[in-house]
Amino acid sequence: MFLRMPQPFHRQPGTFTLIGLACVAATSAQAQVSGSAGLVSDYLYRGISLSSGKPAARFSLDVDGAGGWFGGGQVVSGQLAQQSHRNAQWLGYGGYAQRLPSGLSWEAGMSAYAFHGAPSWNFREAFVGLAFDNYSARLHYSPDYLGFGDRTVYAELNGGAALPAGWRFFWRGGFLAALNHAINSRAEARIGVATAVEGWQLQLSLDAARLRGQGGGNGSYEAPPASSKVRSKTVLGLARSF
Amino acid sequence: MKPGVFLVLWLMAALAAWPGAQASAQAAAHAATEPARTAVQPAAGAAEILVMLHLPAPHFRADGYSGASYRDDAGRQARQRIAQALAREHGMRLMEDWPMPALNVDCFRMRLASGQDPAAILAALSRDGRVAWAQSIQDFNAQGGAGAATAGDPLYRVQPAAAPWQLEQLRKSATGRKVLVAVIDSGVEAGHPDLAGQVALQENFVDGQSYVAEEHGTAVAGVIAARADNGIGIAGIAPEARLMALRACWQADGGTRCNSFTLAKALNFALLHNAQVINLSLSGPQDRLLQQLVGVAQARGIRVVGAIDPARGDGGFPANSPGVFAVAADDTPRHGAQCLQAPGRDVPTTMPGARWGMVSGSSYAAAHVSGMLALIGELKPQLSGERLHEGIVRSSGPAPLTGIDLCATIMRITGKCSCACPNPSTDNLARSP
Repeated sequence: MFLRMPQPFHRQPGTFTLIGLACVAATSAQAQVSGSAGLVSDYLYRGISLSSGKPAARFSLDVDGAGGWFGGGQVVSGQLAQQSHRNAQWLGYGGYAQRLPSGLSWEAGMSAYAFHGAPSWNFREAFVGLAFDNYSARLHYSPDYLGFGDRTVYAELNGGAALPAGWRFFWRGGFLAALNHAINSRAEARIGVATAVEGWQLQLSLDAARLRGQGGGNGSYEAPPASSKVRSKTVLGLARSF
Repeated sequence: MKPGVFLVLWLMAALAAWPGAQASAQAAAHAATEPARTAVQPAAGAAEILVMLHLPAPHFRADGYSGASYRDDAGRQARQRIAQALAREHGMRLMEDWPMPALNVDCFRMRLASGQDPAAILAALSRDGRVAWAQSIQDFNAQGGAGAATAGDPLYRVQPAAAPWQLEQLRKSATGRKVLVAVIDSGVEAGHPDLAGQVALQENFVDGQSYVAEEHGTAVAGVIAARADNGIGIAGIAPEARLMALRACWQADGGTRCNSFTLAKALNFALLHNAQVINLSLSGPQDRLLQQLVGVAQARGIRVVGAIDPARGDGGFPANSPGVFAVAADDTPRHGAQCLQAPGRDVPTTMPGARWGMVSGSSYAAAHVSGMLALIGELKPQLSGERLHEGIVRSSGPAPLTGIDLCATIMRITGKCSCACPNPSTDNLARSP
């Protein structure tokens, strides 16, 4: 079995406590539980493969409370470049979201990532976001991104539109600014189409990332480039949502 | 194959076979195929209610999944499971749902079993923690009737607003250009020669029916925005306004009917598509869902116009709501100090089949005011609804046939005289934003 039980979540007990509180707040009588389970041909996280370019399984859960609190989590069978086999990569998050009379929504929350077999990668983030219609923007701040010792701000813009015959077009643009080591900053983008039929989701996307320098800075990423370089990859995902 | 892949495939298969998931899929499929007749006119003794479940604001999700539209967000299946459970527990049938982000609710239409008491079910649902609130589906009626159709001769000279409102003069300074007016009504004949090109968007919200052109909607649309100077028919009050023709009502039994659900869907659509004026030439009982949607529209600066039902003491909803431009025909008694009067008797307007006809009723008086608000919206888009209400000058003199003095109103609001202003007011709002 390559999905091993997680090690203790080092470095972020406070974050997980806060996330747990958000989940408890969300788990009211009106709580709505949704999620998905599926496979992706490559687990790309902000333009970087966290599954060594291999297919990965993913299970995610989301809980919404009536008061605006939300929480959730995800586990992915990832494989870091330094690892010889797949390991569980965990994500927990919680926060509060509210829709304003104007139709604009805002959110604020925290997330924590834990990597089985590589606890030094564990990190946490705080995020704030705005959404309107089919567009959203989010800022994530991490005091120690992936354990590199880098403070980072990740900005993302997401959008989408319905296409004929039940298909949907979506896109994302993101920029990770490494505040201590600008050379680790990178831009990434995603564009794709998706459809959902009776609870099944199919997504096909083209993901691209432009790395400015030594990739992950400490060489943790797969084959870091020596200079600025754009990489792209087509990713296929199939999931059952519930 | 790796064990992990087996695990995920097993999870996916289990989820696919989950009764709740299947039930929600069946409910969705059922809703999509429900015949129009049963949806609009429930079987005798089978009442329908609306059950509101909380609609969460969009937020970060680990799987990044978001639906194709506001009608298919990531948590929709969770709400459908809850709705299915509620329907099962109370012996109801889940018909369809319609998320209303403006109110943070997903609205589920459910049909009670024959003989069930709606009041008892609503009371039980109001105590259920899963339910935000619930209400019955109420009926609304359009406030106007059609008269005899005539041939397509130019009718501008017989329009009751033409001379008193000096429409020809006014068109030199305002035509309602690019102002989006939502006509929430029965179907509009977008291809009518006097409406060709005036309908920017049309949608049908009457369940299971396709969009059809009908008398009331077509007549109201003509009063607001019929083309001017095209050599035929009439001229709308705001001939360069753009119409959003939202069919929430249908012709039945010699009248035009709507209900809480169809109207709510259309109002929700108008909110999402940035209507600047919403014309509701209809009236009915107080309705919580519709009241909240009208409130959101007003909070967003949208002008809402409602026709007064002379048979109701307070004019009926939505005309009796604070901030709504309540309009009666100028040949009927005024309902309260805030009530406006506008031409509503023997009004020539567009009719389905490329015809024109004479109509009467507060529906058409409301349409005149919607056209007027489109003109003012072009000239003074940022004026608050309250100040706009204050700025409307009522006709005075021996024969106040039109209720409103449009020229004086526009002068008061813009500070400019666009026509021969017989009663210029020094108390103007021209310096307002």
